[in-house]
Parts: sequence; structure tokens; C-alpha cells
Amino acid sequence: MTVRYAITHVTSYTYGSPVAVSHNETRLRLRSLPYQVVLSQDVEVEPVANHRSTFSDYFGNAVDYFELREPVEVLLVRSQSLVERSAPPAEPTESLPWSRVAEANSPTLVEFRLDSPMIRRSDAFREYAAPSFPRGRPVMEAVRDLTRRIHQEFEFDTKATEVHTAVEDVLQQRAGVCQDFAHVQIACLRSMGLAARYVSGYLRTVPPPGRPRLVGADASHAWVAVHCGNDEWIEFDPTNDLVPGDGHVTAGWGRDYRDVPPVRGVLIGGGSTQLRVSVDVAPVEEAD
Amino acid sequence: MTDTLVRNEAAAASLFDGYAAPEGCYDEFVDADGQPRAQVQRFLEALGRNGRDRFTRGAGLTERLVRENGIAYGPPDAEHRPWQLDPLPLTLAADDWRRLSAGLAQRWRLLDAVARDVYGEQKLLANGWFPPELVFRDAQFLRPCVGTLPRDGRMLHLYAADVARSPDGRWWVVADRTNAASGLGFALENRIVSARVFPDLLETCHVERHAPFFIALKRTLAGLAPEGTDEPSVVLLTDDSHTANFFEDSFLARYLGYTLARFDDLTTRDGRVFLKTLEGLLPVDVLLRRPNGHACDPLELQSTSAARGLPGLVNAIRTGNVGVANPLGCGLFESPAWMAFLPVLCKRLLGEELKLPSVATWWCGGAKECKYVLDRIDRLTILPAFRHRGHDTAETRELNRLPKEELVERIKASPASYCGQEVVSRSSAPTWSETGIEPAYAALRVFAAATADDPVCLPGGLTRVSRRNVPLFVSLQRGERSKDAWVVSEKPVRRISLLPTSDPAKVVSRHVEPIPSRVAENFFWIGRNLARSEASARSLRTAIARLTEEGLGDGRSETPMLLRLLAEQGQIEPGYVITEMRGRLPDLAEHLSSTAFGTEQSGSVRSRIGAFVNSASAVRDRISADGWRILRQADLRFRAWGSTGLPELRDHIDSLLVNLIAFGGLVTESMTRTASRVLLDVGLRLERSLQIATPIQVFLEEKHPSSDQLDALLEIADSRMTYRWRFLGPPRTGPVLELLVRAPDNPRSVWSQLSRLRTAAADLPDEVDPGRLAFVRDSIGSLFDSLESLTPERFRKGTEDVRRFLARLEDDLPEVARELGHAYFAHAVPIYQPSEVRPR
Repeated sequence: MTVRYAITHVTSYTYGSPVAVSHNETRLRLRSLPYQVVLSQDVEVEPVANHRSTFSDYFGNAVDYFELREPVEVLLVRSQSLVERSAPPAEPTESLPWSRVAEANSPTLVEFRLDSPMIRRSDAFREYAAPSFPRGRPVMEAVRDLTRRIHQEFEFDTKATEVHTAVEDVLQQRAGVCQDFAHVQIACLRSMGLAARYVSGYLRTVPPPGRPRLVGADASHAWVAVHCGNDEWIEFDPTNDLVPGDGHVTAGWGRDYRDVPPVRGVLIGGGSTQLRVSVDVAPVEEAD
Repeated sequence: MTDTLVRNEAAAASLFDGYAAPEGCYDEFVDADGQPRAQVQRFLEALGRNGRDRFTRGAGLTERLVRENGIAYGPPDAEHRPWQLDPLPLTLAADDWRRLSAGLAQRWRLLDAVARDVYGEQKLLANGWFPPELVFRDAQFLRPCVGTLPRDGRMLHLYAADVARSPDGRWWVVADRTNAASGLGFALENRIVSARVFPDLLETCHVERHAPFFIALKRTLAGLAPEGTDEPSVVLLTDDSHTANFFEDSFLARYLGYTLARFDDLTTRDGRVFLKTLEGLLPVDVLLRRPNGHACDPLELQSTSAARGLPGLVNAIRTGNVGVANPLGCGLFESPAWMAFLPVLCKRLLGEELKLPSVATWWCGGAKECKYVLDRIDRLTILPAFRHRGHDTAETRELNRLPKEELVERIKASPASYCGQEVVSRSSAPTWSETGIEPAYAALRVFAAATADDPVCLPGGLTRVSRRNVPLFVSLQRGERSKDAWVVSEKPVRRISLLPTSDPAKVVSRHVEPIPSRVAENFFWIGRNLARSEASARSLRTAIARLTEEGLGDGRSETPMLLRLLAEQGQIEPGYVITEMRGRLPDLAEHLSSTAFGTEQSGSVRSRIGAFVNSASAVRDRISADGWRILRQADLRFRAWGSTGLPELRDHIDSLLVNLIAFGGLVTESMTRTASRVLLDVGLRLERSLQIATPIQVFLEEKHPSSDQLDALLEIADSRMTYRWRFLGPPRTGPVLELLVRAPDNPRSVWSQLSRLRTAAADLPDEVDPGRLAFVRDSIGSLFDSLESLTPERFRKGTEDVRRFLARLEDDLPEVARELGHAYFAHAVPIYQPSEVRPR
């Protein structure tokens, strides 16, 4: 089934004192994928930026770059998109044993197997993951099991962590938010030798009738993709224990959060900042 | 004729009598039979009959030039280690150099091709021509820079390699320097010194010149400017003035005619890079980069919040608005792990054998190689596989000091993080010392500059020698001494200057060099610090004169005032002003002579000179060689002693004042009236006005100063001669004050300083902040007006009016300085990254 969504993502920064100059980057645009057609999208900046450009980053994500040079007290970034999303192709019914997938040697996968800025492989993650990875188990089954375990054994708690909490600490305290769960799962997968990436995106805010509201719908969301052999990346959402379908919308991906923060800036001046974010992902009727 | 030659040789050879090359290595000077090598023979012939004398003199001159030019490896403001240049060059035969430079050129082609692939199409990477871990494990791989190849399609505009020679005479590469190689400035400075010391030797030995290399480098850098740029502005981007390489960076910038800039001198807007100058923002087309790539843009390249660098630089590069050499991310190819794969890559990519091989290196990321290294761990050097620039020497040293079992454990825990390397052997060469010629071990850093086709190599390079045969650690800091390297050609070499004579129009039309705001600020402080140094020195000299003439007697009426002045200037412990306390403090004479050389007192002569040298060092590239020599003399004079008797101290101050006067004179006589000169003037005049006001105020605390007191005041204000010339008899208050404050014809009077301050302020560039500038000019103008209204009668009436005026001056001028600072000087505003929202 294909669902059309209107997505609004508003980020506002209120600065303690006016910011004289700022250079900013946003990764708020949605990726075009076989199962995701972007009909329109726009990123608006208020006040109007002195200079703007867009480019595609190393991982193929669309980036908006902008400079502000007049003193700014409140910065507003509003992205609006219209997208048609369907469920990704059904998962392969028969998948390779996970150890075969881990052995497969492809240069382009290497960087998703190694450590990344926020994720270090370690024995601790390997030990946590091990029960899901008995010898010969098909990779899909193993990763589904790991996804389920993280969902069950970790508590969703917005107070437990903050944006730079080390993934090792998340594993210890067994609590965090979707970014933390994604990082834990990636750390586990890479410690087992699998290639895994971090996916940032959105969830449908109000669920279809009869289905539960998903956790993480009121902000941007994050989940993981694992390379399952045959050049296929399959996504998993450890926060909600499911394989993303037509209720998820993909914005971008990288090795971990550091590669795809929705908004990032370097300021001159400014003092302490206050940050507010609102996200709305609403299904819309098709015109025809 | 033949007879003379023989005798000459004999004389020269005697200089090297008793030189014994160490066993087991190639000697650059003598062959296996102990006979001078052919190019050495030519050198000895050229040295001629008076070889020994010439050399002794030459060595002295070399040392003096190095010292006076302040050539140093280390921050200019620290107690740095002076650069040690051996007057005896390393001579290389022409055919030897041809082989070495051909190998260097090939290696450059290879590394450039690999770098172009990694930051371009990544075909070699995707096809597994080398282990992808070499790229993806290395923090120096900068993902945002993939796909941003410069306009000329090159990645290694400047490439260097550290080479060493094995006993069989072959050269081996110990390390590749692809990021932002150090040492070019030192190689240049070495050549300039040796050309000063032995100009004829360079000529008769047919020593290959450096200029063609630098011309090629300049042309290549100019070619990186955005399309359609007529006269590209090139900036040498340096780390900052406190880093070890600042000296050579400023030297290189001056030689190449580039503006030297730090990150805070630059800004980006509209996707372009600009230099912040007194006249506003000036576009920058090309950066010759020295800082690490990942430190260059906190927005795109740094994953931590430690923000430094130039936000927006990567964006400017991506949009093609600025060329950077070497491109960001090239540091990747300095990691030793690459060395293990170059022979194979060379064959596959270039279809050639690697002519200039690396010292045998194994990357432990491969299982077989790891076993090989572990089996031979006693005979190999272990290196971190990925370079951590600036830290790798220490890391390597630490690794190889570990107990073997621990080292093996480390490698086993993370094999891909280590390399094993064969122990490097080096060649030997004679070095000169006062006691004779001694052998040392040589390391050579050679340089290549990219061109449209084959690179141009710098003939020779930077040689470092060490008495100890420490095998491995290659870093500028580690070499004990340095040598110039001479490539001795068979034929006379063409003289080429850096300025192309075929295009004289270019030289004539060269625009005025832009002045970064930071540079301007330093010039302002050079002026102020010059005046402060002088004031401290004069007051101290006057005090010493009074104290030594009549013992330390308190009997003289001016002593308390002199002490109060010294205390006010921060030259002595304030306790000395209070008579009752003086008994409890160390002897005054001792205190004076020790504090003058120390920095405990903020106003001590040493502190003042230190600040003066600091502000000048930060703009080293813009101070003339003569100016720098004067400064160095002043600086060394007050570094060397520590403590001395008062008569010697007085002698030092006399010489110091001569240096300071010389520096001032140089500014007036030889410095072009650019905005930096104007700011120096403003700083100097403003500070001098203040520095005259202080002693007058101190001496006027006495209602009716004695003639001895007034005489001391005149001496401090450098107006004693003028007074004697104009007035008969002992000094009287009215005329003295008039002479020091109001007399237009006394060049040392407040009037003269303010008048020149007003003129200088009128010349300040208007562009940046007209409002503040108007305030500055008005304040100075109004001060000057109120000085003019002090008529001669008012000087006779009493001291109240003068004191009121001076008090106002002491309030207003610091305010003027503050406003100037706000108007012009780029204050380093902290850059930071705000918190981010995390997905939930």
C-alpha cells in the first residue's frame, strides 16, 4: 500500500544573546528510494539567510547550507515535504547464515563494519548480541531477534541520556531513546562483523485506526539498516520492534548520528541556546 | 697552476684530516677507500688554500646569521631552541640526485594518482587495489572532501619524503609527507645563510638553485584560483604564532610574497573566503595550507565541539571558490600502512617498478603480515599504522619502549592499527665543530612541487644530522643540527631569480599587500611596546645613575621619587617606596639588577622587551631583516644575564636604548607608510604621551621640586640637552614643565607626541567603522586643543593646570586605544556549536 504524507519539521533556536554570524547545515530533505517518491520539499529559513546552497553529501543525503550574518535572536528552520511511501520489498524468506554475510568481502561495505565517530565495537556488544546469533542462523532471523531483545530489555526514557551519551553507557543502563537504541544495535551488529548503518527519518504521527501510536512520532526518528548479502539493506526499528513499512519515512543515512544530524551549526556569539522542535507527519488524501 | 691546485687541495684536505667515517654505513664524504667522493673533491678544490681559516670564519658567521635572524624551531615567544646550522653542506653528486629526484617524481605520480582516486571516483578503492581499511580506518580520511578535486585535478601540490641511505648507497623512503610538509622554509633559510657565507663556493661548485622549484610552486598555486581570476591572491594559512613552525611559515610567506594568515584572519561569506583587513574584506583565491585538514572547518570536518578553523571553508572549496593546497584530507597518505602497498600499486597503476622504495614495511591488518611482524618483533620497529600528525614520534617511541610481551599483546588486540618496519640505516657525513670534524648521521627531506606534467624537485632539500645513530624517528624536532644540501652539477648552473624577469609588468603592477586586522593590531602594539620599553629603560638608567654615583644614599632628594616612579611603572616591588619597609626587603641594588632580567615585575625591562618581541614575532614576515636583527639583539641582551652588578646593568641599558632608538629610526626612515605603519605610529605616539605623563605626575607630587629632582625628570624625559641648550642655570619647575609638556620644538614633549598622534590618526583607514574613528579623532583633537590653551603664563603660575591636563590625558588616551581596538582589530570571538536535537 502506498501512503502519501505531508511532513512538517520545525526547529527553532532562541539564542541567549544575538548571534552575529552563523554557518549552518541541515539534513532535512527526504531521500528518493524505490519505495519512497518525494513529490515536493522545501526548507525555509527565518530570518532569510544571506547565502544558501544545497549539495549532496558523501552518503548521498541532500544538505542545505546557509549563512546568516545579521544579528539573529531566533532562528527558525521549517522543512515541508510531500512524499509517497510504500513498504519496502518484502524481506527475503530465505536469508544466508549470518556468519556467511559477515565474511562477505566488499570494499564499499567496510566503512559500515568499522568503528564510527559515536560507535566503537567491543566485546561487551558482542556478548550482548551473542544469544541472537547462534551458529548458522539466517541473518534476518538473527537481526529480528536482536531487534526484539533491545525493544524488550531497554527502557524508553528521554531523561536517561542526552545527545552525546556514549553508546557503552546506554548498554550499561539499558535505557535511552531511539537514537540510543539504533546506536546499540549498530554496535552489536558491527561487533558481530556485520555492516550496519544509521537511518534517520520520521514516523506517522497518528496511527491508522486500530493500530497503536508508535513511539518517537513527535520528533524525528532513527532506526538501523543491516546489510544482508546480495547487495540488500534491510531496515529494523529497535524502538518499536518492527521492520519499517509504510509508516516510516526515510530522510537520510550514515554510519551513525554524527553523519546525519538534522540541523548543525557553528555560531559566533550567541551564549546559551534554547532549542524547540516539532514534527508532524500526516497522511493526506490523494488528489485523484 | 697544477702546483697551486695541489697545494690548495692539501690545505683544504687538512681541514678534514683525521675524519673517520663510521663503520658499516655509507659515507657522503669519502668513499670506501677513504678518498673524497668526486663532488666532494670539487668542493675541496673550491674551498682552496685557506680552507681552514675560511671555515672557521664561515662557521662564526653562520652562527651569527642564524642567531640574528632568529631562526628557530619553536614558538617565537618561548625560550626556543635556536636552529643549528652546520656550515659544512651535504654535497650530492649530480647523477645521484638525478636518480633520487626521478624516484621522488615517480613516487609523487603514484601517490597523487591514489589520492585522486580516493577523493574522486574511488575505482581503485572499490576494485580492491588496496585494503579499504587503509582509507576507512584512518581519521584523516575526510568524507566531506570526497568529490572536491581542485581545478588542476592534482592532489599533491607539495610533496615531501624523508629519505635515508643504506650502506650500499641506495636511497630509501622513511616517511611520506603528503599533508602540509614542514621544512621548506628551513631549507630555504639554510640556503640563504650558506649563500651569504660561501657565495663563491656555490658558484664554483655549480650548486643547483632553489628558485626554479619555487617558481613552479607559485605557478601551480596560482593555477588553483577560481576560473577567471586575473591576479590570484594567495594566502599562506599558518596554525598560529605559538606553534613550532611559525618561524618557517612566516619566512616562507615573505619569500613567496604571500600574505600570512591564521584562521582568525579569515572569514567565509557567500561561499567565498575573505581576509579581514583594515580596509575591509578582501577575497582570497588560494590557500597554501599548513594546519591539519580536519582542523580546517568546524562545521563539516570536526565531530567534536572543540571548534577551531574556518567554518564554511569546505563549502567554499566545494563550490570551486577557493583552491587549497594540498587539498584537505591528503594527510591520509602519510600513514605508514600505505608503504606496504606502494610497490604493487606502482606496478599496476604506472606499469613501473617503484624506483625509490620505502623502508620495508608490513601492515599487521593482513594475517600473514601480522605473523611475520610478530615473529621478527625483536628486529623490527613497530609504528602506529595510521599517522597522528604531531604525536606519532612520541607514540612510536612509547611503543618501542614497551616490554615485548606487552607490545605483542597490543598488536594482537588490534592488528590493523600497527605496522612493522625494518630498522632504518642512515649514511654518515662530517660535521664541523670547533674542536674539529666529526661524523654524524644524516636524514634528508626532499620536496616536489606539482606542475601540469612532471613535478619539479627542490635540488637538495633539508638535511638533518644527529651525532647519535638513532634509527627511526623522523621529525624536525629530533634532528640535532641541520645542513644545507648541495647538488653539485657538472656544468655551471643558470642564475634564476624568483621574480620572472621576462614579465616585468607583473612586478611593477603588484598591488599593495593587504593587511589583516590581526597584523594591524600587532603593529599597534609594536609601537606601544617600543615606547614602554624605552620608558622603563630610561627611568631605570636614571635611577641607577643616581644610586651608583653617591652610593645608595637616601640623602639625594630625587631617590624617593625615582623609586616611586619605578614602582608605578611596575619595575620594582612597591615596598621599596616606603622607607620603613625598605630595611626588610633585599638590598635595593640587588633587587634592581635581578628584577630587570626577570618577568616577576610586569614593568621590568625584561617584561617590556618580551612583550615587544612578542608583538613583532607575530608579524615576523613583515619586519625587515634589519629590524629583526635589532630586535634580536635587544632581546638576547636581556635574556643572557639573569643578574649582574649595577654598573654592568647600566651598560646593558645603554646598549638596549641604542637598539630601541635604532628600531625607531628604522621605522621612520625605511618603513613604507602603509596602514600598519600608521598603526605603529598611533601606538607609539599614544604610549609615549602616557609615558611622559607618568614621571611628571610622580615628580609633581612634590610641591616645589628641587633642581636635582627636576634634573632627573629631564633625564628620564630625554630632554636634558635641550633644556641646557635653552636655559642657563639649574632647572626650574616652570621652564621644565613647559619644555616637557607644551614646547612644540622639543621632539620629546607631550605636544610633539600629541601632534604626531593627531596626524597619524588622520591617516587611519576609514572604511571599517567611521563612527568610532570620528570619536578617536575628536578625542585626540580636543586633548590637543586643551594643551594649546595652556599658555606660558599658566606654567609659571603653578603646577595645578598641568597636572589637571595630564590627568585628563591619562583618562582619555586609554579610552582612545580601546575604541581603536573595537574599530579595527579582529577579536577572537569564540566559535561554538549549539546543542542538537536528537531523534527520539
